[in-house]
Amino acid sequence: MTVTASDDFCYVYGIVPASLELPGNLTGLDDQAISLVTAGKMAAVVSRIDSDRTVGRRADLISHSRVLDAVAAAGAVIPLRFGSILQSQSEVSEQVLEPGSERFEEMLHELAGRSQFTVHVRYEESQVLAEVVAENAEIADLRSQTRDQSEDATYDARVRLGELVMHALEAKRTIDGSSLLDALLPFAAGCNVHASAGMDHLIDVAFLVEDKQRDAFEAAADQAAAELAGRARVKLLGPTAPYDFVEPRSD
Amino acid sequence: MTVAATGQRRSSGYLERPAPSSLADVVDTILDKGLVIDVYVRVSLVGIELITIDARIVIASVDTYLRFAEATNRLDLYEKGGEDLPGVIERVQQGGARGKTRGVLSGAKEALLGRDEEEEEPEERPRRRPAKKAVARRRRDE
Repeated sequence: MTVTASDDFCYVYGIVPASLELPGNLTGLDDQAISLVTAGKMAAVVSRIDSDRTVGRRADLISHSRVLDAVAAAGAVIPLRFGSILQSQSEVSEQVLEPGSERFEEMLHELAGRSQFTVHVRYEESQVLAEVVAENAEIADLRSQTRDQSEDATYDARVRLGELVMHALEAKRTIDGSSLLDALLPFAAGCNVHASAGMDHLIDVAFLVEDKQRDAFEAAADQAAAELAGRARVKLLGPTAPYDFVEPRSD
Repeated sequence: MTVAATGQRRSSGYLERPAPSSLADVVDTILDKGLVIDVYVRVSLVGIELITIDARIVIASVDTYLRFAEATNRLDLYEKGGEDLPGVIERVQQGGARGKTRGVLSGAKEALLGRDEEEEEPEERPRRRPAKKAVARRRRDE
């Protein structure tokens, strides 16, 4: 790639050690070739992008994560926030790599030999609601009061029913969520619980897992899924780049 | 239920491991994540950040309560058809209820992003169901 048109900007995916060997044939947003911009011991993973291009389409999000996950499989990487675009390669070296060099080196050192796994757990909605009704007499009463009545006639009772159900689900989430964390944390170097919503939400949590712990972690996740079977579904994503574990330090 | 025999790399079959990840998974994984550098020329997002934020908020509003009540009332428990709770539990464990239990409230994200993951770019109209209504309703109630 020797395109150097002046209206090309630089899309930056992440930061890696300059010694990293990029996986072959890797393309990024708009199928542009991926390359490294190097400054000292650090390098940025970049591809060119039109200066008037707005990012945020489905394909852009997928390209961003596909590049970072592929790079992560080859070595430590600090993922940048989606949509990071700089004006030129020299700006990448002068304004990002050089000033941040020491800090990036430290972060990469911590991330080396680790990758992220993300666990999404969703309740089987009818099952967990059945539990809630069976376990709470007031909910069961309100349910039979409102069930086959007109909405207007039972408005207040419905609001109260919904409020109780929501709180009962929250209580279940707390219990089931912490037992999942207890089961998986012994095999992880860190975790980040995501805020999320939805009636069937149980927990979404990202784990940073040492390569040598990966088998044990995956086995524990499998075990947790088996234990929750019938009550909840467990989805495991990864290994991916450590998106959740590059919190900027406030300094 | 099949219980896998012990051995190398055995799997219970219950853990879902999608690959490649769907758009919804990718959105969850990368949005609001990653290192922020402070020299951006621009961070040009088509409203996607707002979408995920919307999807993550559960507002304790009358609307929300009514949705929970509706889902609870929709359950087929003892009264109808004489099935008792153990029956329901068994049915769910056999996976029979799976198809119909999705979708009661599968999350704002699915509604916003559309269910078809393969579908290409929805031309800058990803916000099909903004959470505005719930917010507006709450304000009125306060």
